[in-house]
Amino acid sequence: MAGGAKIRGNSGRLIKPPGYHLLPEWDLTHLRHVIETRRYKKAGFSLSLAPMVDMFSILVIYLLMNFSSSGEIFFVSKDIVLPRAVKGVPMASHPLISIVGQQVMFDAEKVEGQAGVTTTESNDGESPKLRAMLRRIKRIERQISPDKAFRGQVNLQAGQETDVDEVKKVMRVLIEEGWTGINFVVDPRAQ
Amino acid sequence: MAGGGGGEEPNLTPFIDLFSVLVCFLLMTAAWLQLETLQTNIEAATSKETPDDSPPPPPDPKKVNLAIGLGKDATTLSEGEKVSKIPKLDGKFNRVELERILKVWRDKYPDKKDVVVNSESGVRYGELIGAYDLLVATGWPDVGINPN
Repeated sequence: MAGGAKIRGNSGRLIKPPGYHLLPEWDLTHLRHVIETRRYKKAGFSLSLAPMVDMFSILVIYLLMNFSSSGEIFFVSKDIVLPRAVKGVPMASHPLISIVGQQVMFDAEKVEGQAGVTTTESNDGESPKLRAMLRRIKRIERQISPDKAFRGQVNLQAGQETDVDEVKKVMRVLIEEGWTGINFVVDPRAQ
Repeated sequence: MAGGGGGEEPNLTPFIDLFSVLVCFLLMTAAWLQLETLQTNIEAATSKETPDDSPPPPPDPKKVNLAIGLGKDATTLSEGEKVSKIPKLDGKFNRVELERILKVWRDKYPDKKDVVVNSESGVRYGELIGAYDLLVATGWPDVGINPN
C-alpha cells in the first residue's frame, strides 16, 4: 500500500500504515530472553561483600595492635585509681595482690591445677589466707625447680590515695613469706 | 568470563570466614589495659635488718647510704650522716628541688645505683610511687622501699 494513503474505516479516525522495517539482524527472541534474565537478576537482593572484608581488615589490624602474646588478664577494681608513672616496665604475669580500702585480695591464674584462685580478707598485717596461698605457690615453685633460688614475684596494686601503711603491711607479709620480688602496678599514661 | 568483558569476582566467603575467626581470637586475647610495673629492691632496703650466718663484710668508709624519707610535712634526704629537709608544697613533695638534689647525688656518686625510700605513716601511696618514679628517672635504677 502506498505510504500516506488514507484508509477509510467504520470510525472517522485515520489509520496510518506501518513504515519501512529492517529485517532483524539479531535473534530477537534470544536477546529478549537475555534482557529479561538481567532484569530479573537486578530485581533480586545481592549483598556486596567487599566493604565487609574491608571492615574486617581494619578490625583485625586494630585488634592486632592490642594483641598480648602472654595472654594475661589483669583485674583492676573500679575502686582503685592506680598511681601514674613514666618509668615502669611492661607488666609480667604474676600473682596479683590488690589493696582496696582495708581489704587485701589475692588473685592467681592457677594454683595446683585450680584455675582462678581468689581470696579476700582484712588487711590486718596477719592475712592468714594470703600467707597460705603464698606458701602453696612457693611450694609448687620449689617442686618445679628445686635447684633454683626462690625469688617470688608478685604484682601489687593499690589506689594512689591509699595510706602507705596499708601497702607496707602487705609488703611485710610478702617478705616474711619469701616473696621479695614485689612489682608495683602503675598506670603508664603520661602525667 | 562473564559477559561484558569484566573479570570474574573473587569468592570472598573464605576471607570472611578467616576474618571472623581472627576477630574472635584477637578480641579474646586483646590487652585492653596497658599496665606497667615498678620493681622494688627489697634486699637493698632490708639488708640491715636481715641477719646472715656469714660474717659481715668490713665497713667501707667511702660507702655512703643514700635515703629519702617521705613525711607528712617534708621530705628528708639522708646522705650518710648528712640530713637535709625539703618542705612540701601544697601537700606534695617538692619535685623540682628533689630532682635537683638527686641529680647532684648522681654526679657525686656515679657508681652508686641504690637509694632507699622510707615513708612515714599517713603518706599517700601515690606519693611513694611518684618519688620512686622520679628516682628511676634521675638515674637510680635500684630503688629500695623500706617496709618498716
